[in-house]
Amino acid sequence: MDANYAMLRAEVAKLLHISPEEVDADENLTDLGIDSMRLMTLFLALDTQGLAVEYSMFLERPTMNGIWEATGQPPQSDTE
Amino acid sequence: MTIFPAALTEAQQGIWYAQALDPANPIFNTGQVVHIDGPLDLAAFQSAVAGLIAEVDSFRLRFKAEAEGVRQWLDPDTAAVLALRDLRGQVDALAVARAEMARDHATPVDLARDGLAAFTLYLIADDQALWYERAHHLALDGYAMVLVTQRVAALYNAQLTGRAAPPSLAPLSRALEADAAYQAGDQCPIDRTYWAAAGLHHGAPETLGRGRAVSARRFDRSRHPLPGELRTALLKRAEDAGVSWPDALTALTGAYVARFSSEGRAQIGVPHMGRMGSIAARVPCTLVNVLPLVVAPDEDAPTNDLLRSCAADLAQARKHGRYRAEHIRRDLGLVGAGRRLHGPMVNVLPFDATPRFADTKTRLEILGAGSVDDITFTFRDDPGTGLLLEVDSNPERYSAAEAAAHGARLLAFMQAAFGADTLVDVPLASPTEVEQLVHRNNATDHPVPDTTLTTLIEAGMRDNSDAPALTLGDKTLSHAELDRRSLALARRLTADGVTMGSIVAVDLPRSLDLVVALFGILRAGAAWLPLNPEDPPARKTQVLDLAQPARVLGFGPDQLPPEGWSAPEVPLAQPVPGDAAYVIFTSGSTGAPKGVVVEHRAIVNRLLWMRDHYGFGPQDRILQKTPATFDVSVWEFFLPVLCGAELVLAPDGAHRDPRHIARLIRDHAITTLHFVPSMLELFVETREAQGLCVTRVFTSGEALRPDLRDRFHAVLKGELHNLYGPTEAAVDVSFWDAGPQDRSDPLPIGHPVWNTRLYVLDQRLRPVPVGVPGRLWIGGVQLARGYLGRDDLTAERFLPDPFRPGARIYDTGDMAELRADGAIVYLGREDHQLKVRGIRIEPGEIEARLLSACPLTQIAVVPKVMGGSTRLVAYAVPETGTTGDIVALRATAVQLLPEPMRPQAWVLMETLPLGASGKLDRKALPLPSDGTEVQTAELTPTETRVARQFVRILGLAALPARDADFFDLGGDSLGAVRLAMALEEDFGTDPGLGALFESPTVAGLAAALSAQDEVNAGAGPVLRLSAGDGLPLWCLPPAGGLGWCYRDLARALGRPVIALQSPTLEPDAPPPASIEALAELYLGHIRALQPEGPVHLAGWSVGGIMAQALAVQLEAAGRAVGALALLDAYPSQHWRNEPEPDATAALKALLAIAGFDPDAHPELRTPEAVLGFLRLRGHPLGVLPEPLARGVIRTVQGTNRLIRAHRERPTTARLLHFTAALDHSGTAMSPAQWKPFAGQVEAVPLQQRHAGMTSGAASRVIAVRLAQEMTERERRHHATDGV
Repeated sequence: MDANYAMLRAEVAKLLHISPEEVDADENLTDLGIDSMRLMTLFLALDTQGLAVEYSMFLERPTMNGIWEATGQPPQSDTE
Repeated sequence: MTIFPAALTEAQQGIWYAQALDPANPIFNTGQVVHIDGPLDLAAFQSAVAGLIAEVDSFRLRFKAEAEGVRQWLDPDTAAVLALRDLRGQVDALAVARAEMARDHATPVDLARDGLAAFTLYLIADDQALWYERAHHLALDGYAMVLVTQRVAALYNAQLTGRAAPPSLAPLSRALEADAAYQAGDQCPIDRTYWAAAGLHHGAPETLGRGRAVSARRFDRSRHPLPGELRTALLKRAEDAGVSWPDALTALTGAYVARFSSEGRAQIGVPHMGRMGSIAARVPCTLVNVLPLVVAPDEDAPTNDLLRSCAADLAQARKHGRYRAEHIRRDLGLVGAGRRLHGPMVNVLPFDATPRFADTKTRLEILGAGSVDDITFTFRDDPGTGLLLEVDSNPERYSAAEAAAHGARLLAFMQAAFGADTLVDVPLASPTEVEQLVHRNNATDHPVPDTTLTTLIEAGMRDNSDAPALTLGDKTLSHAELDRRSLALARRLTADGVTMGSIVAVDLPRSLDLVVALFGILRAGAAWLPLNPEDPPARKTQVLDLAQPARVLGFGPDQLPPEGWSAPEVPLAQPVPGDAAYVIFTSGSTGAPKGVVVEHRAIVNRLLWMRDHYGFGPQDRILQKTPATFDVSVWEFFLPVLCGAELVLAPDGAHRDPRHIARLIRDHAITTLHFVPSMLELFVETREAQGLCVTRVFTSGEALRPDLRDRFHAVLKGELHNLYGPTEAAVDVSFWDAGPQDRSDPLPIGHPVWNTRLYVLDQRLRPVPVGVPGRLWIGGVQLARGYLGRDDLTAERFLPDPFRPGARIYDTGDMAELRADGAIVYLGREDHQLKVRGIRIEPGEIEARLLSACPLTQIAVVPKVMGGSTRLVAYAVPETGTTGDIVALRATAVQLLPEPMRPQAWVLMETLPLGASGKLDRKALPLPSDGTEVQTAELTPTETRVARQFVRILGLAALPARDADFFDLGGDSLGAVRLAMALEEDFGTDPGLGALFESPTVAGLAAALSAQDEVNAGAGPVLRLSAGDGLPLWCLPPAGGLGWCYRDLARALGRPVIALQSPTLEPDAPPPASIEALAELYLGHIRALQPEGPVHLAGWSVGGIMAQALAVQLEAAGRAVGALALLDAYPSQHWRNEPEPDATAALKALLAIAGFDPDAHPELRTPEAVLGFLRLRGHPLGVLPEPLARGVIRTVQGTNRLIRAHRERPTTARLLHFTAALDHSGTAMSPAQWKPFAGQVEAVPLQQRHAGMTSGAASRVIAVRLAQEMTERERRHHATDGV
């Protein structure tokens, strides 16, 4: 698994107060209770890692995998 | 592409219709400017914009209205372009660019011709450019504008960096498909269910502004940067509460807005981009939704709880945020313009939307984001300026200053909220505003001597002793006289045990005695308590039981009449400023009236303020026309003596008659008078008032409307002053100059008087800012002591002043708001209290009184607007087993309640409708039926004319029935004056208010008007009462001079009957010198009309004396006397030794003539009072036109005097005496007394009293005997002739 993808997963887990293993990469993050401010914090963190999120693309698919692909990265398999 | 032409999205529809209704409105242009500093690659930029334009369908939209709705499609020929304006080297290049952008932004887009978007790149300098973007809101919403701007930046940067650009924006069809899928999918009904249960109000949402929320063509904007420490406090508080800071801003802005609602509840609008998780996320188009959010903070709870619950509500709202607001509105039935789902909008934009162009510095400036219906609070987090609050407002609803004040106040509110645990401690007004509202507006301290009204009036009477103090009619009292008489009364009262702290009630009509009474009571050190003599006895008893006065001045049993107002010299009590000066009862909501105790200090402040503020002086003549039970009368009574002016009393009852008031103003050169606005309304319409000139007119008691102010100034010359105050604060506490220069609308009640503070507070007694409704509280020296014997009520309404330790404030229960200049605007009542012609009325009191006395289980008294005016309607539920009798209920109300408190219409109900809360549902109460279901055909032409005036005055839907009652239809006494004026205009004769009160039906009034015609014809010297064959009977008038009383006799006799009437009925006729002279005059008429033949004479009462005198003269002139019939008349000797009759005696005589016992009505001491009394009872003498009525009184007086000087001479004529056998026992009066003055006397006794001798019954008996006598006399005359 891409190290950046693992980092994203860890960040998302932190925002949701759950463990990384519990994150369902295709679940709608807003349904999980994440709000736009925390997302923005996340996107800024990704930005510093060189992963610029195209916000509108994320909006089309507001899931963890949606974020990943909105950074222009190829799709990742969620299974190891 | 098969999707086009497509229907508009819900978001587009509202915009399209608003634009179609107002095509010249540029408000839907959204626009922004990107300031670009640094080297911009022009070719790359142009290419990026071209790339964008190629991707965006919305820029090509065309619209067409068709039968099934508006359709949109894509027009390949309408492409947006990028214009290039090279201003480099130009002076003021930036200003030129700004001006051009502003002009373009303010130019409406022609949807049929123009493209929906336009871009211009202004080159200002080599390293400076402005990129101007403009798009119609039909094409892009705020999110889409960010999308397209970022897209240009991405395409530009891709070119410069060589990196691949992100995927292109999505086509419009995708958004339309997504919308259709949502509508058809499972989520939509779930969302609908959510919103249905979201607790949204169906009514108009709270707003901070005024007027209808209609899009203006522009909006105002003010900018308020949040100070750094406020931003820090916000972030900290958000973190503490565990919410995001944007949600914290939304929650607190909602709490701020909720402060403006009387229920402490706001329904704000929160824009929702509606793209999250949608395939439309990358479609540049208009999809924005505005979610309604209820914010109803529990201000006692920790603020963090509020933030959390509001954030939770927002999360839920967003989750269901694809459901269109338009649908929520429809679901709630909020259809139609102006019926909105939310009030102010709160828009928090936490992300920096500034595009980045490689190697440049950029800054974003928003020019406009569509229409502003009400007010929008936008918070932007701008990296350059930190957090910024922008307040955009609709100029139709907010002045720019008001809107800007909201911005500043909202930030102050937040600042205070972050420093407090609960919102209770956070005032809405900012600290600067509190200083202004509480202190500077109330800087009214003014030195006033610490004295009593007693001291002031005594000094006034002394200083002006020779000047006239009081005038009523043609009677005047000098100050010295008033001094003497009031002192005498004070001694009497003191001798009777009255002293400081005593209450003395006054049950007198308006009269000189009334003023003497008030002065005398004050001088005895006591407080006066006015009663209304017109109130039902039950009401008076109720007040007297509550007040327990030491004495009652009046004419009733156990009362002290003016005859007894004297006593030997005794030392008088000297009251102190803290003693009670008067007690005035007002309506109490719980069933009993409550007595307001006002102290000397309070009323002295009020009177001296008025004297100095308006410059009253000895040149003034002040009209006293307000009933003493209404506290306005207090300054009318006492201000004159404090400035040497003259008090002119309006005759009792005259205050109801605008024409009479106009006459008084002219006749007495009145300089100052007071009107309740509803009466002023009638007054300015009165013909007699046109062109009148007065120094000043005061209004109070009801709201003075601007249109009335303007009509006043159009008709009268004089100042107009609007005063306000409850009885609980010594008459008035605020004043406003409503002169012709005043353009205020609404018209304020103004500024506080001396030593008075006015606060507009919210329910927790926190000051509210300018323009915000709140409850009006009064503080200062004028506050009443409280309610007599009701410490509980006093404690409820008089509270400690939160801003002045040790002082009190009074809760007026009135809603008010402050203007920016500190003037107060009255807004209405918070409870059900209402005003009827300026008099305060608690429906609760009416209900309690009627419920206790009538067979009812429930009653509700509710004001209802019918035909443009408000009527008091009683909804009564009869006891089980009874059907309810409106006539009886009405009668009970008359017995128990003062006139203004009586319901004007009654509706019997089986139950009273209750609302969801279990309270009376006032809106569900039916309007009383107005009995207007009748055909015109049933009315006579006169009745139809009368009925039309009913329709006009009462605003009825159709012509009322013949027997429809004006008052049952909802008319009140002001309406009655209006009707009388309208009828006079229509018919040319004045039916008289009395006729209206006596027979208020269509038929009754029509009859009265017809009779009026007769009256007008019936005041001449000769009145033909009946036609017939043979020689006429000549009837001589009784003391009043009118011969109408012989009508029944004329009907019964079968001969021509002609009544002669007194010449002095005419106003300017010289009074005859003697009975003989009068007889001579009558003889002239007889000779002219009956040149020959025996003259038959009849006369009742004084008319009998006249008939005998005529017989003497006829005989002397050689004419034969026929029948000489005297109806219970006796020779003048009976009156010869009586004292010279005064005016009162004449009035008594008039009452007696009218069939009333004069001794039963000692209060009727003036012609006006007597005529008013007769009118109210509908007596024919009372319906006389005013000049004729005065003529009757003059005639009574004149005749009485003549009788005393008259000495009968003998005649040989045979005298037939009809004797009232039920009277005169025990007196010397007997028919036999005529024997010395007649040839023969025959007495015919009738079982009648004197007053009944012209009744129908008596007339029929008399007619039979008289006809025989006439025939017999004629036979004898011919027999004699034949000899």
